[in-house]
Amino acid sequence: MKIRKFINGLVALGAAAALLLLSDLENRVGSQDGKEQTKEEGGLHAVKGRTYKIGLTYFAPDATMEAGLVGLWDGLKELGFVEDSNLTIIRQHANGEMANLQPIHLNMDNEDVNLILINTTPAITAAVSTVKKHPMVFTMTYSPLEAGAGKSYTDHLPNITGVGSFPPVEKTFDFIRDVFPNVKRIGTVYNSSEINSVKVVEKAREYIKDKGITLIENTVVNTSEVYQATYALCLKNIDVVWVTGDNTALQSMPGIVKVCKDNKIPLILNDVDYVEQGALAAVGIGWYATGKHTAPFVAKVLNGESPANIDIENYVEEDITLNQEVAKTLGITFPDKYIQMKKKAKRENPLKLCLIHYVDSPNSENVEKGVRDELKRQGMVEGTDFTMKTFNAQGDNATLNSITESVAGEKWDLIFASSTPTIQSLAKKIKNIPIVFSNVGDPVKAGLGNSFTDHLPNMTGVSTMSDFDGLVNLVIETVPGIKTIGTVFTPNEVNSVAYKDELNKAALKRGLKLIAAPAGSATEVSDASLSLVSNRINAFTQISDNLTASSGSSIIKAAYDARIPYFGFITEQIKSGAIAVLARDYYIAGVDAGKQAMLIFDGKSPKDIPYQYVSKTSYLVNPDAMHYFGVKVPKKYIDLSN
Amino acid sequence: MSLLIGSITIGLILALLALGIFISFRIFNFPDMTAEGSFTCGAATGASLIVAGMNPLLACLIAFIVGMLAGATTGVIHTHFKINPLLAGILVMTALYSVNLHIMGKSNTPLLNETTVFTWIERLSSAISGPDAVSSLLGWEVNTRNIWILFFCLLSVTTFSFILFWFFRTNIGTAMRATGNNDQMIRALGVNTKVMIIIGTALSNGFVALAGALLAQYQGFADVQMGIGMMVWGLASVIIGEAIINDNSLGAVILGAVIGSVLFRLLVAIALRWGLNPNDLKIITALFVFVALILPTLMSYRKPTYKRKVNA
Repeated sequence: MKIRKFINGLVALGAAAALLLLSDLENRVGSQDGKEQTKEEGGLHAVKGRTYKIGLTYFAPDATMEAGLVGLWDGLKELGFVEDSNLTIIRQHANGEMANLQPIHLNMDNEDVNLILINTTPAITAAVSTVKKHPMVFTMTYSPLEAGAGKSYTDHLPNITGVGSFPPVEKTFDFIRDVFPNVKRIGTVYNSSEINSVKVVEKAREYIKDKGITLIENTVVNTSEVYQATYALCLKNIDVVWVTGDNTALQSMPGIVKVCKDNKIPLILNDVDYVEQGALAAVGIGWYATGKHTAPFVAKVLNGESPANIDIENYVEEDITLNQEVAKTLGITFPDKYIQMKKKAKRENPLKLCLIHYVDSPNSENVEKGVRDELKRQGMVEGTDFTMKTFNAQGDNATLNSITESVAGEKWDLIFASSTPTIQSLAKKIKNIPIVFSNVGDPVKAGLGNSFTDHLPNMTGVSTMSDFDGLVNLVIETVPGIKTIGTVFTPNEVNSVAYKDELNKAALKRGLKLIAAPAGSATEVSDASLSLVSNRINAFTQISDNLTASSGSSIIKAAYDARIPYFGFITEQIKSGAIAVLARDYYIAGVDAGKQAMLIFDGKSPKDIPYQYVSKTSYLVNPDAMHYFGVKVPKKYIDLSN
Repeated sequence: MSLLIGSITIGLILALLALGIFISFRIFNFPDMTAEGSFTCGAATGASLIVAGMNPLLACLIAFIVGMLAGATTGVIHTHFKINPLLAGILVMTALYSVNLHIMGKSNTPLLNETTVFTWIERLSSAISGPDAVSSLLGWEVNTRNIWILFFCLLSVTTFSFILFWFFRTNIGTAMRATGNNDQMIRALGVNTKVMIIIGTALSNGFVALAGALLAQYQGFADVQMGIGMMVWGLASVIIGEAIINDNSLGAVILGAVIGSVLFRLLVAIALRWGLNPNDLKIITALFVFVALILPTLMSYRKPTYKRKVNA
């Protein structure tokens, strides 16, 4: 009988656990990529103690290769394959000569490697006919099928698989027509023995056929002909030069750029990594993303899965890169939609963000508002560019832990934390997701680093420590003969205590005495301020913490009743009757956190972003209050207040 | 899955709190508010000692003892000064607030870079299965060290549950239970009920403080506000456990308190995971608890009543 009763409890536990797991299904490894991963548990990750060897072949070193390979190595690193640690890479390239491709692959096939990683379309063509002993994975190619990798993405040669990235040809020409509405003749240069270029040009020809545009083609057979071919092209009265990802042409990009520049003809590419060399724009592929997308393919094959079981995939992260400098010299302005799109193209999926509050307070609400406004100002639209989930522990420590666990179980792009306990709890649990904090008084004292620059690697943030020296100076210059100042503080708020100590230091420096009265709850705030009044302080210099921020008006009331000048650190208090406020605003603290987050979105590591104080200190002065208390704030502060 | 494991871990740590509340609330019928203060007190003591370089297990032990002292104070105030148990608890809880601030010297003590019990387990985990090892559970990837931490918490809660079970079946333990049930009867048998109550509140708050010390180490900081609301949650856990297990024997209620605590954290986690408006979190939690409480009753309505038929 007893056992049956326990079963009730266990069933309830089981049901709750199952419900929780059910809502967590999306994070299950197996559910992400379907069949490959469920079948190959752990096959994606480097096996401990094992070393791997990759043979890497490509046409020639260039900027595109560089970007793609960086993405690939980054992707592999995430899966536990680290070069020079458990991964050896043998690199060989054909020096930009088609004729060299065959021999380097023959050579590579005789090396003792786990797989051969083939980059660029011509290399694939050479590899499929020469490599017999090793499995192959390809990437950085427009058209793997035309190169001979197989009949279709699912029906391909058994020893090869990989990722193809066919460039957005239609979009390229739409772009050209949007920027140059009167375009009639577009010239292009490519190597006719590169099957990838042939395929792209074919598609382009077909797309513009009925659009009143003629494509003028000049073909080359090696890099040395490119300059001349482009030169000849420019003499054929063309409006725009378009060069696709032709390996041969890319090798001679400086030549192409020079000819176009000399003839004042805009140059449009498909490879974004070349734009900065002097092209007008590129509508193309983010190769870094392609490289990264290839990493799981490489990982699986390295762990022994046969390429035959892995379908080829087409993966394109479209990216439009504009060169405003070139646009200026050519007198061209891009349509607004591309400038907008440029921002969006970077992120196909909205960034997944969350913001965690510890308690409902005006300060943390202002921080949230600041963060959201700043993201909006930076052109981030909620829903399309990012999603932001907010959590609030509502002052409950156990709930804060549950929130931290819940957050740790999901994959976020960035987490905002709006209080000291929040960031401490996150710091303990989350080591690999960037975290930006705000509304933290002293991050060093909170254990988040040794200094503002030497801090925990996955986080950065904004310290809301007030400008105590500034306020003490202002008060001394405003209230003649001042000896003692007073503040209410909240012993249970770590920020509040730190602020009180700092204010005390600042006061001692100028020979003032600080009297601090503790308050633990809203009802105690007015008692505490009355006790300050009876201590005959000459001025209130109220520090800013969560408690006194929400019940500050009772302190101001006490100040008015006793005619003791009131100074504060919170913007809103100027309206409630403070004489002057020296605000490092929580709203601005949120804005600054938003700015730091943008740096992280742009690829900067939180480790390299130092902690900072709120960037702007605003001086606010209330003339009515000045009059009431019979004091005069020096003119220099009044000037600052605008 | 990592959310599940994390929630169960927190649930187990807070099960110690629930066991403490169970002792005062169920064994002695003593609504002891001291818990809110002694929870933080344990956290503050443990954290400060660890920062001072003490062995974390020893720090936990001292936190336990300090919690017992706090509880004993409540017991003495109640028994010797004839103060209503609720008020005695409130007095000590209020006083502990200042004591806790003094113990830490400030309102918050970070433990992020200190060696805690959980650092040990993490080290053990990386020694056995390598640093940052990932295990696969039913298809979810879980950090191996979190599983170790879960096992540790499970092991300690089991151990403490058995100790309690054993203790309450010894002579003194039985006398304590009797004090809660029928103090006149047990006084007639020559037992000093005052001493029993003092031991009981001390033991209760010892457990509460231990839970605080462990939670502080788990979450990486002790904060003077961390005890707020704990009493209520501990009580809720005990009652949920009772409602679900529905058996008054000692072992069943102890196990019930543990199950109740874990279940409660799971319910909070579900409410969180569903990503509702954060302002609604508490009302959803309350709703879940309500459902958990009435579910056993609802289920018993639907049970066919074989017994009566047999008897008839």
